[in-house]
Amino acid sequence: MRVRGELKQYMVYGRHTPSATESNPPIFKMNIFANDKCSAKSRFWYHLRSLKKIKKAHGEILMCKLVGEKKPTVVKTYGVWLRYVSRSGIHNMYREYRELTAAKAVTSCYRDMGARHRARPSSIQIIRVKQVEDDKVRRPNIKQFMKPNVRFPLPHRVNHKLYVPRFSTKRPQTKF
Amino acid sequence: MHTNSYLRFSRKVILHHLSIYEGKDAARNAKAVKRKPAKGETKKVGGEKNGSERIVPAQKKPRYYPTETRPKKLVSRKRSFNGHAHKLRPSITPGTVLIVLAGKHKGKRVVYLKQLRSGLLLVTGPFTVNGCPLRRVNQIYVIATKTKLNIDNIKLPERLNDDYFKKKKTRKAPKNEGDLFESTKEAKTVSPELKEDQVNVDKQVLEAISKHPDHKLFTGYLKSIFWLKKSQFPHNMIF
Amino acid sequence: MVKLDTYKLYDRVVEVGRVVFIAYGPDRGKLAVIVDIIDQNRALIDGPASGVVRKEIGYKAINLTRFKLPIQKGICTKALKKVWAREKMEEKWAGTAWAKKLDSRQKREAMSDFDRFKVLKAKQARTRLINEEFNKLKASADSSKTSKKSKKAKK
Repeated sequence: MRVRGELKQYMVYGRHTPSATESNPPIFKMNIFANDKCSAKSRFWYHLRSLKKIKKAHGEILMCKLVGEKKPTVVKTYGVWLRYVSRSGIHNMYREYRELTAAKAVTSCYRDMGARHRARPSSIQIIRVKQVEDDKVRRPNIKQFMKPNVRFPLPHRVNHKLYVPRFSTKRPQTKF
Repeated sequence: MHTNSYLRFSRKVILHHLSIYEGKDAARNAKAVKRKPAKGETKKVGGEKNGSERIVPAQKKPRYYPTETRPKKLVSRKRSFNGHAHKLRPSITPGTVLIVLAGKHKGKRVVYLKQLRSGLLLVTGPFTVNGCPLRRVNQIYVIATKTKLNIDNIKLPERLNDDYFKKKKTRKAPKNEGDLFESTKEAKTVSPELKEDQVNVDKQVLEAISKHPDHKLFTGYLKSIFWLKKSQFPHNMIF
Repeated sequence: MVKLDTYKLYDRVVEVGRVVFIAYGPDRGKLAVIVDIIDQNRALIDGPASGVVRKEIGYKAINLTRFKLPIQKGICTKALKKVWAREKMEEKWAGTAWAKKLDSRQKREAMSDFDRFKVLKAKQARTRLINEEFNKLKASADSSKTSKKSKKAKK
C-alpha cells in the first residue's frame, strides 16, 4: 500500500462466492482508507483473508463506495487505533488527531507514523477510526487546542521572499 | 517433380499463347477494330502496296518516351507569400497608439493607420511630432497600447501601398577602373509624393488628436520615448 | 518578581474571531476570520463576505490583522456574515494603511501606458510648484541673512 496525497474513505462489501453447499454466504463490510477504489478492494481482501477463511480467488466484492464526511467544516478529534510492525516487533497503538474528516486524520496518522517511528504504510494496519468526545480525549497536546480561549502569537515569522537582497541595512520584519 | 521450380515464361505469356491456340486472340482483335478512328487528316498515298490513304495525326506524337516512370508532383496546399492571409492582433485597430520596438524608430509611440496587403502595418509618428514618417512596420515589433485615436474620418491617399514604400532598385553603373575605390553612394532622397502625403496625413492625424479628450498631453505622449524602468516587467504590465 | 505577559508583546495573536488576510493560495488577497483552531499549524477559516469558503488553512498562508470579531468558536457561516456586517468590517479594513497600500498598488498595476505618462507629467508639475515655492523662501532667507551680515560688517 502507498499513501499518495490525501486518502479517501471507502465502504467495501464482499463475501465468499455462493456454492452448492452455501448458497447464501454472509456478507462482510469494511471501512477502508485508500487512495482509490482499486487499492480499497485490494486492502479489503488483505484484511478479510487474515480474519476469515476467504480469499479473493473464491470471493466477490458486492459494492465499494466512497464515504463522504457528514460535517467536513467542523473540527473534530479522531482516535485512531492501529497495529504496526517495527524493526523489533509488533505494536498496537492509539493516537489522536484534530482534523475535519476521518480520511484526513488517517492520512496524517500515516505521515506521523512515518515521521516518528519510521513506519512504512505497508507495515501499518488501521484497526479502527472513531470520533472522540471532548471529555474522553487523552492526549494533552490535543486537549490544549480544545480549550475555549486558545490564543497564541506567531513569533519570529520569516518572509522568504524571492529576488530580494540577502543582506540589508534594515532589521527584518518578523511580526505579521 | 518440378512443381516448385521457376517457370521459363511468365504466366501472362503462357496464357497468351494458350489463348492463341484457343482462338481467343481473334476475338480480341475484333474488339480493337471498333476503336475510335484516330484524329487527323487523311491523305492519299501513292503506290499500290501502301493502302491508298493514311491518317496524318493532328498532333505529332513525342519522339521521346521516358524509360522510367516519374513520380507525379503532388498538389501543394502551400501558397506563396502573396497568397498568405495576414492576421492582425485584435488589440490593433486603426488609430491605436503603438510602441515601436525595433528599427530606427524604436521606443517611439506612433499612430497606426491601416494594414497593407503584405501584412505590414502603416504607421505615422506623426512626422512633425516625433520624427517618425509614414512607414511600414511589422506587427511583431510593436506593442499595442490601449490608447486609441478616433481616425474614422481620415482619408488616406490611395497610392499608399506596398509598392509605394518598396526600395527602388537602381541599376549600378558598370564599374570603371577609375572609380574602383570611389564611393559612388547616392544621397537618400525622399520622393516628392511621400512629402506630399506626409503633410496630408499628418494634418488629419493632428486634427484627430485635437479632438481627443486628453489632447493637451497627447502630443507630449507621442513625443516621449518608451523605456522600462526599474522593477517594470513588460509581461506583467498593461499598455 | 514581575511576570512577563508574553501576549502583551504581541498585538496580533491567533484566536477565534481574528480577522486574517490570505497571502497565498487560490483565495489570495481576501479577508477571512479564524472560526476554530485545529492545531499549532492550521486553523479553520471562513470568509462569507469576501467569498472564502470555510476551509482549513496553514498559518504560513495567512497574515494576521489587528481586527477581532466577537464570535463563538465554530460559528456558522450565516451568523458570521451577520457579525461581519454589524461590525462594519469592510469599512474598518478599507480605512487601514495596509488596505490603502494594496488598493493603490492594484490601481497602479491597472494603469495603461498613457496613464503612466499622465502621472509622470502630474508629478513633474507638482515638483515644479514645490521647487518654485522653496526657491522663493530660500531666496528671502538668504537675503535676510546677507542683510544681517552687512549690518554686522558696518558695526
